[in-house]
Amino acid sequence: MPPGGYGADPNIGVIGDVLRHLAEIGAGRTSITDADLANAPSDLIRELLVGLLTLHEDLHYERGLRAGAEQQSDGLVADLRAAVAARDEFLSVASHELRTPLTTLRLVTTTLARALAHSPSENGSDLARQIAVINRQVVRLETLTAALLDVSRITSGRLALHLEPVDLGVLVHEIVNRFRADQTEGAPLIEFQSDSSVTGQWDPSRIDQVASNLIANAVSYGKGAPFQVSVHAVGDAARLIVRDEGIGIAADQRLRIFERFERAVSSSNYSGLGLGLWIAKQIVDAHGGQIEVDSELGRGATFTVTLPRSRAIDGSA
Amino acid sequence: MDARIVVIDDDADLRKALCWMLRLDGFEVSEFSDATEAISRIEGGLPADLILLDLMMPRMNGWEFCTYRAQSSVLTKVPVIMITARQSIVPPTGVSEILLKPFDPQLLQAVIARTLARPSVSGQE
Repeated sequence: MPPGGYGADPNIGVIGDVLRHLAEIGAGRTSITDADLANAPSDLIRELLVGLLTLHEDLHYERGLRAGAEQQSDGLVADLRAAVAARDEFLSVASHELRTPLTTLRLVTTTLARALAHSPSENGSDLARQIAVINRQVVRLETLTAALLDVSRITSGRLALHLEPVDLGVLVHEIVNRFRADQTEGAPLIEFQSDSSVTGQWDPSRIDQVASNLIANAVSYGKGAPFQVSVHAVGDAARLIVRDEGIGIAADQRLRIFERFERAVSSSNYSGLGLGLWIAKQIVDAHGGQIEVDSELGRGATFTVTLPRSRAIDGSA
Repeated sequence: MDARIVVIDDDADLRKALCWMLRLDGFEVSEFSDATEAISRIEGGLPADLILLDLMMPRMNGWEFCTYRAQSSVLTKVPVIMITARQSIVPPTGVSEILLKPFDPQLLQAVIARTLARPSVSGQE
């Protein structure tokens, strides 16, 4: 209300007052009172003041709604972050806590097998076979536990690479031989071929993990047909190719399979956590390389890993 | 003479499994669930060529054991292999090797052989 009220000349200063009221309303407050409405010098000015008050109340209400929505949204984001952190913490603690019982199991089964070999009994060979089964399952549990631990390492940026000179052909050949030695009757034939001296600076245990994952997938999804593993030198890069003639991957699944907990097959038909290719991709990325798949449903799959042979790497992913 | 190994681990099942394997390998083994008791026995004359030490233990943990060991004229001569499930730990003073659980028993055998073959160990007694 202007000094002296709106009384004497209702038109004088009205525009200035409206602008002042608008500025106040813009700042979230108003100085218009019930007395101003009652004492308005004309119906027009009263209507104007009522209009400004309504505008103020509408804006006030909207601001309240927006603040509530923002608070709710902030709360949801905070809840989501807390849930993700709790999940990662659980993965880390669970995989960590599983390590001691796994160690004990492995020690006991290994020593049991040795003890049995030292004192053969009547049903010794049956027992040895059963112990070998337990051992294989313990190794499988160790692999799953290691995968869960890798997830927590990678998501928290703690995947450290220990680079050293490696001959990829020699390394992959060893892995192929390991698979061949572990294979049971009826397992697919693994054909291996490598260029000579495909050397580079890599973390051998992590590259072993990548190659083992691809070969294990070819065994699992290769429909029992022979499959090929090859290593090539291509300029400044090394290339590992695993090609199978198995069930293949549909076009809409080809990118998804490199995501965490994603699988191209039904979990009712094939066991697994859906972490292997995600971890493999993180390892390859950390080396500055690429992993790609070429496949069609029912026509097999070809996984290609390309690794730079020497590169300055920060040592973490 | 076969080497004498002291196993210190509060997890009874793991400790027994370690001892069983080591005895089968021909070692003379003493086992303790409590590091303070192991200290008192070794300083009291229990022969020890190597200590297998767990990291996380209730009364005295592996770090505290190693801190004590560094001050002990008897213990400091005995090499320590630490066994732990914890990733990326800084090796405590005096620890020769760290074995990360779960490990291949053959790796443990190799690490023990390597540690016992070091001059500081074989030159003892």
